[in-house]
Amino acid sequence: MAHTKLGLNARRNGMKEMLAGRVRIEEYMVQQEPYYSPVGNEVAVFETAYKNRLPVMLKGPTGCGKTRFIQYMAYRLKRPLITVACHDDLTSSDLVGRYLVKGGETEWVDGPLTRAVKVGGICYLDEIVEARKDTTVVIHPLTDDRRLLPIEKKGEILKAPDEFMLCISYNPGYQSVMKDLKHSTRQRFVGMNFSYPPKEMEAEIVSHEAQIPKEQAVELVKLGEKIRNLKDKGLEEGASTRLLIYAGKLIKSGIEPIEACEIAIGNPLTDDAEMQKAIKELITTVM
Amino acid sequence: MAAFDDVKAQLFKILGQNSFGEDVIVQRYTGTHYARGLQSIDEAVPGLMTLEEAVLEEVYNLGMDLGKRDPEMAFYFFKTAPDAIKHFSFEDMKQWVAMGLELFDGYGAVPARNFFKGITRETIQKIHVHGLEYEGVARTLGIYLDGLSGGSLRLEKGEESYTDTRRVYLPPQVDLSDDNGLNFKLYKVMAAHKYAQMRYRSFELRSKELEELFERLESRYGKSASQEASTLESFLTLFPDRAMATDLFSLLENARVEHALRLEFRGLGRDLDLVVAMEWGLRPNFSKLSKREAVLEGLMQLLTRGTLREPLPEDLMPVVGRCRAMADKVLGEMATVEDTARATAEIYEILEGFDSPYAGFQDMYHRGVVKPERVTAGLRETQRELGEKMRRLLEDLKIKPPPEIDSQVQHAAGEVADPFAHGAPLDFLFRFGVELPEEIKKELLAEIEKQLGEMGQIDSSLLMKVLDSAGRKIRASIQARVTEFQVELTEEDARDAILYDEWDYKMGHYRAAWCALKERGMKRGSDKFVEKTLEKHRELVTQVRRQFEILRPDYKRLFREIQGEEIDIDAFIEALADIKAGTAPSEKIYIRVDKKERDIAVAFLVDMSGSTTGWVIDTEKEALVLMCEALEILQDKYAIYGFSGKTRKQCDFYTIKDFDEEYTEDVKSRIAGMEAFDYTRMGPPIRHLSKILDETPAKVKLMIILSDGKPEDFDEYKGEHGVEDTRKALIEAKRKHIRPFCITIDTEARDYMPHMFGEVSYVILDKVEKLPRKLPEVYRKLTT
Repeated sequence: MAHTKLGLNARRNGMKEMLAGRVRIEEYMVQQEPYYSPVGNEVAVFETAYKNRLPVMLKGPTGCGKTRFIQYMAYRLKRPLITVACHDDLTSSDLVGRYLVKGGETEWVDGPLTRAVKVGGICYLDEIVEARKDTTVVIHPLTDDRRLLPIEKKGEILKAPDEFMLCISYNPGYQSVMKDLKHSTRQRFVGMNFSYPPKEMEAEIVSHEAQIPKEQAVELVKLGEKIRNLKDKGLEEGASTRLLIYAGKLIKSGIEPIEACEIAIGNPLTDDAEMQKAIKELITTVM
Repeated sequence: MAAFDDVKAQLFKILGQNSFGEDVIVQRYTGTHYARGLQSIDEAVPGLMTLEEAVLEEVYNLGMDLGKRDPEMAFYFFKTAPDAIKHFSFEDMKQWVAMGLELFDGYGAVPARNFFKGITRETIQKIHVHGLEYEGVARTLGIYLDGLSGGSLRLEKGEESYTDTRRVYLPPQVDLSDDNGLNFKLYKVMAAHKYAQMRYRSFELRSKELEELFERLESRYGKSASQEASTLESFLTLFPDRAMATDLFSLLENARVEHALRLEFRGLGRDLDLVVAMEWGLRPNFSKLSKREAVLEGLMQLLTRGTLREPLPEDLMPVVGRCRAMADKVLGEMATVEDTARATAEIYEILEGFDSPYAGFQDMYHRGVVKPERVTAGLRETQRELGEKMRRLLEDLKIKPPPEIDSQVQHAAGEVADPFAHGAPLDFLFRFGVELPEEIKKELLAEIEKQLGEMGQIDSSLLMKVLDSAGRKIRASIQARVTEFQVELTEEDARDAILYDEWDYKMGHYRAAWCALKERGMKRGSDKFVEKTLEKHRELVTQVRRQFEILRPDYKRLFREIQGEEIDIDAFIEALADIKAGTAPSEKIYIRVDKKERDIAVAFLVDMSGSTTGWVIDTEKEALVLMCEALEILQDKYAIYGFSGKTRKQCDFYTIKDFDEEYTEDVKSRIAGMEAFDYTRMGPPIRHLSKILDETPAKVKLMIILSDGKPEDFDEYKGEHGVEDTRKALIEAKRKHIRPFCITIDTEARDYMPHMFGEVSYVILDKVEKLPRKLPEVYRKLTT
């Protein structure tokens, strides 16, 4: 318990610093064009949603490029990007803001959501299902045509500028009844589906991200494909593009390809010994 | 040779006595007999005298170990040992002794003495099993093969390693090495080799490309191609010596496939090298082979390692060289099985030039064998399934299936064993003389494109996948036919029954009070069932218990509470700041330590339709027993119900355990009493259970349905109608904040499950055996 609490404090302190205005809005801007290769028309769709001021929900398995896509879009649209990784201790004041005491004085500090509304940025709530349900409710007025953010403590209501956009991400692979997105929340978003890119493109991505030769990336993708075949046959999720990139990075830094794949792909995916052995054999078959 | 007296003295030293057993008097109807049971140690001596000194020494040593436990057992050992030496190596002898000792420790002296009185065939078999057994590697290799092939090949145990294009058979054991790590590699390479044969299309020869060759062979050897068999089989039949042609063909094809495999899967090259090195020493010497056999052996060695194990006889060297040159065409990057067929014909001609006997050729062990008849049978099976899928698709499209398909489905006779006999592979889908709608064609072609990534070339297993997934999409977009057949509901039927509505998707409204559901008690079954199940799955039970222990409600600190034992500093400071700033502070500034309750109610609804008879229902019951064990630990509220019935008049709903009932002996015997009845009308029981769950207070309500197939009843409740009504019933349940989830063993379920239950609310098991393991796992995942 103690360390969780400590972690919580450290996190809050970190946020307080951030909230205390020490990070300027320019630093939220995505400065360099992030690497992203569009799979279909998702860029156009997102831009259309943005123009129409519609909130967007990104759905897809873990590690398929949702977060990267948002970064890319923020860069394209030249808007600041404020990302909040949701967790079950996230309170609404963590999102909206709170009063802090400073040398006997009190000072109001905006939360990331408020800040994003004020600067007209893109607020990205990652893994929204992890947040407590009462927390998610604060975004509701922002997501319909009112586009309002009530700040109860200050008795203010902020109207979001046209540039502001709310995005959430969500992995529908979770089957837990405890972590389901409420319908009242889910029906406020337009949904975009993401999945792993087609293999030529995935090889391109892995090669670019891990800085490894194309041929090596092709092998990693081939391996990924074989392991994805095992989804629903004992594996809950296949190897994500992210894991393939991790493996690539390890290889790049001089770790033997087979070992790199075991560390980055085989071990994280499953604890089942026979499954792990089978994956290992797939690795030694492909690599 | 040891002298009689020496041996006898040694035995006496070890055994400590001169005779064993006892003389007995036996009463028979012929009178009293004196049976001689006493045996002198002299009887053991002559046999031992035949052994060499060194061996005898070891036998003494082994016998000494036995003698310490039981001299009589040791005596029988000495008597049988000379015979055993003939069967066993010395290592085996040790194992034989160990087996006897095990028997002695476990069951006492008498069975152990009997064990050493002679050597039975079972003993020999048991001792000779070395190495790795199929059962030990089946799951790992099954997953491995699934990963490689994307699920189109199934692993099975066979007498040797081969494939029929649908299943991969591997031998019961592999014992080429003392190192089981190497034996495993051998198993793995065998499986990969079979996958390669499918991936590089070893069995589906395209007769169109081989017309010229067929004509040439027909005129040369005067045999004509069979119309009945697959192209591969009829190709091989064209040769006068079919066995030799088959061997030659597989030799060349193995070289082609292995070459391609090494190119595509670089890692496998290492394992292949390892396995080849292991087998290299076991190749026969040229001197023991006839000329034809030696040429094949030499060619194989050159193709495998580029070198020969030993020099070939002078006269054969140039011939093998020529053959090797001809075989070059199968090693090209784009080489196909048709190239192999051509090379086979050419090299066969060379072999004919030798006037020598031919007893057969065995390729390397890891390559297994080719069984053309099994391939034909496998392809036929695939053809039949393809035809059926095609027909189903056409029916759904309301296109009358042409008679061709019927003949194909019925007995797959005639020329259809080869799907590509008539031209380009894509034509297969369109060759039935029916014009498919343009969009359907597009869908099929797109799917082919997609599947090509998995299996390298278009073959029938690929088409199968294509028809599966494209068919699913197409079917989802159209409405299927429903047989109109309704049953009257009389007043009699409705008495004492609860009436439920049924959804008519075609009319878009409910049929009011349509189904009569009756709650029924479950009869008692054998009370041993639960015990037996717990015994059978002992390991799993322990594992499940442990997993669920962890889930047990735990004490947790809840922050920002109105009251509690501690002050929440974060909340307190925030409140202070609020006060300073002049706004109303929150009162929630305490930390409360509380048991985090799992307020969950789960109901299991078990499909007891006729199709679950036997194995399926028994496994469902076993899974329920395990689930009860787990839930007793968690103390979640749970209930178990079953359903079946026949038409809307009779929807039976069986109560096995109610929510407010304890897990008593009664409940256990009701689980044991569950059996398979009639049909699967899913709507009414779901609606009824929704009602029960709705009246049960709990924060989270779960309905887990165990099923083995589509909703289906004797009347019109099938196809689209059944699916749509079930779907509607589930939507009603969701409206009551009940979360439905389905575990099914229907492998076709992917067709309708996503529509019926929603994308993430179901699990399909490929084998019913997995249910006892999977059910607790699913529950755990659902509720954490």
